[in-house]
Amino acid sequence: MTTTERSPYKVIGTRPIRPDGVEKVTGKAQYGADVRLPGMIHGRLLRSPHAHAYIRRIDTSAAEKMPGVLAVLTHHDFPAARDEMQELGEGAVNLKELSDNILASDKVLYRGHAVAAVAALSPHQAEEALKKIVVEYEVLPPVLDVMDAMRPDAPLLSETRFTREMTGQKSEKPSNIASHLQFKSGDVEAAFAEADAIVERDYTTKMVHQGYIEPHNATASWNADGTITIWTSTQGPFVVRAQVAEVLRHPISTIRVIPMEIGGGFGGKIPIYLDPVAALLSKKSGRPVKVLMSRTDVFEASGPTSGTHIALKVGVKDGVITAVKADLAYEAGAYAGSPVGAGALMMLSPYNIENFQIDGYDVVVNKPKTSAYRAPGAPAAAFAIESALDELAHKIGADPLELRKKNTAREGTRRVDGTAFPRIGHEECVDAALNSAHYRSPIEGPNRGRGVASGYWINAGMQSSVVAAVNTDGTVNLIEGSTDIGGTRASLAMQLAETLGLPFDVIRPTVADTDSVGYNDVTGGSRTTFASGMAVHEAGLDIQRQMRERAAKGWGVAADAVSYADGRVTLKTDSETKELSFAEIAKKAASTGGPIVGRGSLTARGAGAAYATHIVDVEVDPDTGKVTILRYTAVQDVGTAIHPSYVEGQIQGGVVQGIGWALNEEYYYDDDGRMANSSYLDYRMPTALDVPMIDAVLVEVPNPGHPYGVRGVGEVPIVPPLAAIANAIADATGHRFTSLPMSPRRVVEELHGLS
Amino acid sequence: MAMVIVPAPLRDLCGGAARLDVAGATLEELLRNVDALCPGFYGRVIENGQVRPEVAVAINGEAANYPLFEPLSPGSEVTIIPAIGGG
Amino acid sequence: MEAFDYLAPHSLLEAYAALGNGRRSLMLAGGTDVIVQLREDRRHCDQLIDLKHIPEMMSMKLTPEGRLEIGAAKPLAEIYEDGEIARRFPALIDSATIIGGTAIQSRASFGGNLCNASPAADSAPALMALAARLVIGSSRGTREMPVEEFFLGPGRNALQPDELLLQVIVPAQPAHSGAFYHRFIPRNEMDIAVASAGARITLDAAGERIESVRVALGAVAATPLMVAGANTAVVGKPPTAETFALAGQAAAELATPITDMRGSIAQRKHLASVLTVRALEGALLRLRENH
Repeated sequence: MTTTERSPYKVIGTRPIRPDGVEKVTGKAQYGADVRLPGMIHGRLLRSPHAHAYIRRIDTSAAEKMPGVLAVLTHHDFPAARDEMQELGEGAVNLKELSDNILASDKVLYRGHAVAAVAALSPHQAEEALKKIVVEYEVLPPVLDVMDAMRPDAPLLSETRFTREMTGQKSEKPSNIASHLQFKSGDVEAAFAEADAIVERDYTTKMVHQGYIEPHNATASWNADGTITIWTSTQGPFVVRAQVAEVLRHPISTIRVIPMEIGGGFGGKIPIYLDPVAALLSKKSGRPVKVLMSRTDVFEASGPTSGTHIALKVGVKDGVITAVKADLAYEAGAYAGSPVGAGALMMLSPYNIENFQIDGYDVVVNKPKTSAYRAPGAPAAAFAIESALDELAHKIGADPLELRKKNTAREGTRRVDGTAFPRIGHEECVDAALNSAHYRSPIEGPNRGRGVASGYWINAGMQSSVVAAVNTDGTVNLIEGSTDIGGTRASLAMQLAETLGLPFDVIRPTVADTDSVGYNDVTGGSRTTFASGMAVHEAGLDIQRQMRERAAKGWGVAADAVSYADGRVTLKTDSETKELSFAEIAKKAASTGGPIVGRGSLTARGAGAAYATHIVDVEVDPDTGKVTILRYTAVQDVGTAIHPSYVEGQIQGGVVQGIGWALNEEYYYDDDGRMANSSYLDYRMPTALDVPMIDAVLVEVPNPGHPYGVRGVGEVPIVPPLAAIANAIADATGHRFTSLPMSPRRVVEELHGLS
Repeated sequence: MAMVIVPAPLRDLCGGAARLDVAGATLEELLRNVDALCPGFYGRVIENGQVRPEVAVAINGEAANYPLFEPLSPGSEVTIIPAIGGG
Repeated sequence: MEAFDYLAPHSLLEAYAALGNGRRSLMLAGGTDVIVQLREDRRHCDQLIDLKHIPEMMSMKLTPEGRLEIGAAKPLAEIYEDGEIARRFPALIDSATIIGGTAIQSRASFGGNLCNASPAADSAPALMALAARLVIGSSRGTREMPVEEFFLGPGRNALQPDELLLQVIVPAQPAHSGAFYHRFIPRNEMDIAVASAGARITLDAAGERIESVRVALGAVAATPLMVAGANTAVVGKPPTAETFALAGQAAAELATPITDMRGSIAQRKHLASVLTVRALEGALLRLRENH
């Protein structure tokens, strides 16, 4: 449902069939694993069986003699990487760590860490050859948990890593804590001293994976002229290009990255893993090489999100949240770079709180290097604060939504970093939740409970570039460089159709490769419909201008005498009205100045932040501990919903991932650092049978920073579910769970005192 | 005058101040002027002519890849936050 | 995956001959486990012997006395789609319909599920509760054993290297009896049992006293487990919640589970009791519905 009033738009807000829909449902769409090239051979990687070890020696000689083998690769084949940070399109990357994560050099830092690669005529030959590679390891004790890793006597992942402060100071001794950050305001201790009620708890979450269906893949052809072509599944072909160029020390202009259709990413398809390996195997073998990950590889060696430990203390006085003290420790995985900064920055953003001190710690552990995962850092932080607020509401006898409304952030409220919010929609979300049919209905029956929670995500702008070429039949080819994960071919084509006053189906969107369109940042940060949408709008205005000029020239008037609206150029004088349609001008392009091409290229500013408030009803089986989601309502400020079905889809998808995170998903490690559940059988993501229809309530508070009011919508829906479900379980059982997942095992052990 | 919101870890450089009103028509000018009041501040934010990779500059609440010549208007609010990635 | 030969004998004699040719053999029935295991390097063979072309392996017969004989490679879907079998052996259908999804069920077989010898195999507790027997053959002849004696440990069964599992025989069920199988999984589908229980209850003619129960558990020990103590605890008693709780207690006491990514020792012992009670309740309900 939506709460929109009458729309001023003709195309925006409708629900056309996506341009890529037919190809996808008929199986014709080409994904990375579908790439087949003449002479193509198959690459496979050898991965470390140890979570933490020095590599003393790698002997590949026997593997090189195996049948069908055309190339074998170790880190020695990579150019020496510089130990320095570089901005490569998605945050800064340490080049040596980037290179070492692709093929380990001196040390393996997690089980599954790649150490060598083979290319052979068949995948089976490549697999058999891997078994002949001899790697001598000196095995070290692994450290797997963030709190263990922070202890002074913990095994060190790197002897040269010191804790960095924003001040530039470094710790005296090497540490697994890569950095510390802090947000602070007011007098926290004084506020606690005056509080009516205080909740103090430790919250923990486990490492979880994005769970995209499609494993990572890369096919590369190192061509005779020294150019490289890469076909891959990625959220950002330009980031792949930049990172491959850096790892291989190869000029960026000689690398062409062709983004294939993408079977899910959620942040996990931003880093590169296989692309440089496929490229070098191709160079060595002289053949195109395709490399695929198995599902186990994906779990063990791609980029899940952090396990976390958050120590939190919250105080209220007269119903006002007056004090928060929080220590957030996030697992970065093998190399520094957890999303603890985002967690710390965003955890209090739905609220106006005067006194707080938030400390964040980025901690390396012997697990895969974490990557972005949908609102990275925010869900764990929201799990903590939103659980604590629920307990406080009960303590002071307040309705949990009323407590959130009373303390809501509004325009002008300062975020923890001190900046003032522009127009935001949290209060509207809480109001819509309070007034929803769901919240107003009673929750009845034994073992049932209801929970609510809010969430915030900052959203991104960044760079986008598009070209729109007008065809002589009045259609428009829209060339964009943002890979389409969530229906953005549709949402961008719709914005161009709206700008040009044309029907949706005359716009033909295509996602182009890195040789065929200007630079685009990744499809991530909920930015594509927002930022590429702005570029599309700019390209549409460019076409409008050219159409007006052509028509005006024909009529012998100045361009500013004519107007463009509803797909027509109009000249109005006292005596007459002349009109030319878009198609008529397009048809005559050859004789009026040549092809009409619009362009839009920009760094988008003004990404509005996203807020959401969720309501969930659960039933807990007291004998088995199994939690059933009975009803779920997700209220979200979506700015303007360009294609409401895909906005609802984003919200529903985020909620489902949140349900999985809350109830069952976790990296389950044995003591040696082996993930014991690296399959979809045992890594228990929800299936369609585990979730009810999720009711998405779209609150449309248009973003003033976008021509059509767009806000990013994709990430914030995963922020509230963890706490909302914990709060519902507490309501149903009287037991407060502060550790995820709230699996049947943990629930039944808690309810029956079994552990 | 723009307002600089001093991040908690850098307040020691600024005598404990959480906010400063400082003149500056561009980001570069502003940060230089802050550095005059809080020695060392500029170097914590800028390295080799660019914002350091581990931090981001937010102007009026929006973090972006600002150039040093980014113009500021009177009343602009500038702060330094940890770099954030999105999924 | 290593290269291997594929053999498709059309008779048991041909199959026995292939088994005796001195090469490492694995059997292919539905292939839903063995193909995956081969691909993931968890099992190895020189030859894969496809049993689906052998008529005895694909047969299914319900005798006039009510005894069911199922060829070991018979796909599960063909079993549960048979209305008469579904009516007479609902507990069998309880398990056949939850082994994998629809696509798996159109290939997978009871024989394959049993030979795989997973402690969590869904077919095992159901067949054990129904007092099913297995027919095992080789060039030396055939032999029979109760299902519960077939499992030796995780992935290990009682077959000799030259033997094949030929048939699953479910005897005619006693009068005044009902049976039920279920498992506990954290999700609602696409999952493997954390613990499971099958139960058959037989009452006296008056329907007032328990004549016998057969309770079997899955995933709570190194093999599927027959809970003899459940029968001892309840025989002669009225079929009430209190009585069933005694059977549940016997089940929990017998269970020797492990802690792994699917569940903990404490959880599984607790579930052994809960699932036993609920299985007996389900069996009793079926018994009552039939009278």
